[in-house]
Amino acid sequence: MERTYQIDPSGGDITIEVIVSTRGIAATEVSRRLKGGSYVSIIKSTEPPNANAAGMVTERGIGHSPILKEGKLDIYTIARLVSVPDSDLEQAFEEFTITCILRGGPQGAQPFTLEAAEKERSSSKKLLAGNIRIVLF
Amino acid sequence: MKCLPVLAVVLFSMTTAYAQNKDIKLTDLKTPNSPGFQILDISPSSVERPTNPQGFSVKVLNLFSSGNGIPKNFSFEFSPFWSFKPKDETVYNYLGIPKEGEKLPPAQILKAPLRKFSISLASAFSDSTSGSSLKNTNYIAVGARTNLLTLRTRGQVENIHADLHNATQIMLKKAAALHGPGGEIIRRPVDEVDKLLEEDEEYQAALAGVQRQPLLLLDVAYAYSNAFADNKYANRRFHKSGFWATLTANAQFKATDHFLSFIVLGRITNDNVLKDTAKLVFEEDRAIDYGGKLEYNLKRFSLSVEYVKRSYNDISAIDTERTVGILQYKISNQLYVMGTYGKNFGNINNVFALLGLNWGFGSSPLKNE
Repeated sequence: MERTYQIDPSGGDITIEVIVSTRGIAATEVSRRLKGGSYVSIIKSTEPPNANAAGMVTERGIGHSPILKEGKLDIYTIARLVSVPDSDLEQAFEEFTITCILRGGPQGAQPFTLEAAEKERSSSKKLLAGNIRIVLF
Repeated sequence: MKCLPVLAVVLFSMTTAYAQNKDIKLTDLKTPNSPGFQILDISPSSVERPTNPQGFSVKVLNLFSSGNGIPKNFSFEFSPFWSFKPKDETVYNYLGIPKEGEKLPPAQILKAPLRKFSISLASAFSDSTSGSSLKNTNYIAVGARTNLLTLRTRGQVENIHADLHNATQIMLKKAAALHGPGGEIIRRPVDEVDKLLEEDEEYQAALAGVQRQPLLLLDVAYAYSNAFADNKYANRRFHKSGFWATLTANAQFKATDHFLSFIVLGRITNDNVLKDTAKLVFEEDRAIDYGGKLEYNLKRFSLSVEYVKRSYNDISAIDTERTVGILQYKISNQLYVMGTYGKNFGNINNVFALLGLNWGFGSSPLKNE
């Protein structure tokens, strides 16, 4: 499932912020694909600044509007539930949410929240993953 | 009127529990150690190690009754916090540690007891006179517990931060994206990532480190119970109530799987003591329980010994004590053998022996939570 975010070719910097809610250990990777190119990893929540184990990405730039136009973004979070009783694994999966906020385009700040179809988990129910894909037009 | 709070808790618990889990699974069943069961003196352990409360769990399920009595022999426990499906949870809040380079926010310090707060309800039918339990009597108890204090040393918190950092880096590495022929991104299936992580020793060591026991834990609990002779509501009488605190000190032997805990218990109970056996005359008396438990964990084994002394205020002649040894062995992730042997409170039929299999409980019984 792809979402869209409008880019003004004569605009300034576009920023991204990722907020993850889970009881588990989480890590997020943001990848960017420019027009005609391949995906390249540009942000990891495990690396400075603000490296953390909650999958959070504090607001930071992902590039200038002219180069992002007609590009794509891939926001991927993986989470491992730890010390969660087996009886709560179902609920912990329901609670797992990702909200990605893009800013700097004509639409202003736009949140993209993880949909049910965008998240999955392993057979053990302890490893969760969510993937939001955004087309920049 | 005294039954109204109990009834309210029962109704609220059952409604919430039903809303959360319409189907009770076998994996939710577990030997009970909730405050509701502990106040009845029939729990496998009277000095319980603190654990993360479950959203909802049913234990020793036997809700069947003959149709006109109160249900017997059941226990369930649930944690209201998780019913509200919090939207701002992080592993830091869940573990009760600050983020790297930060202090734990005051809001999270206040939230911690709510997060660990649980309510339990238990029933135990006694078909013979044993300890403080009388023949043909159903005991029903309602209890609550929470964690007031979790203390880690600075070194422990730094180690957890390092383990969290390692674990997340490995997670992203194993889940690394592959590129399709058209430059599109292809993610490794989550089951494949899970398998790779299970096989990664460094990752497993980091996970174990994250779950390492804190230095100190202070838990408090309260429980109230009524007795129903012949399992009839009209025959109800106050049985016992109690407030207790457990202080747990943990020590992990460096770079090994050996793990030692010392748990101190202090409990004040109001006990309805049988003063005249022939005329069944009861009299309330206050008692103080104190004691402790020494627990040793090594991989699949958990061995513990607990001792609790009960001293009554008015009648020291009925002072009593409980000494129990508990051995658990993990056969597999789904199967545990548990043996309990010792002397329970009271002077009649006070041999306390349990031998059983726990199955389908995941890895929680021996895991350091």
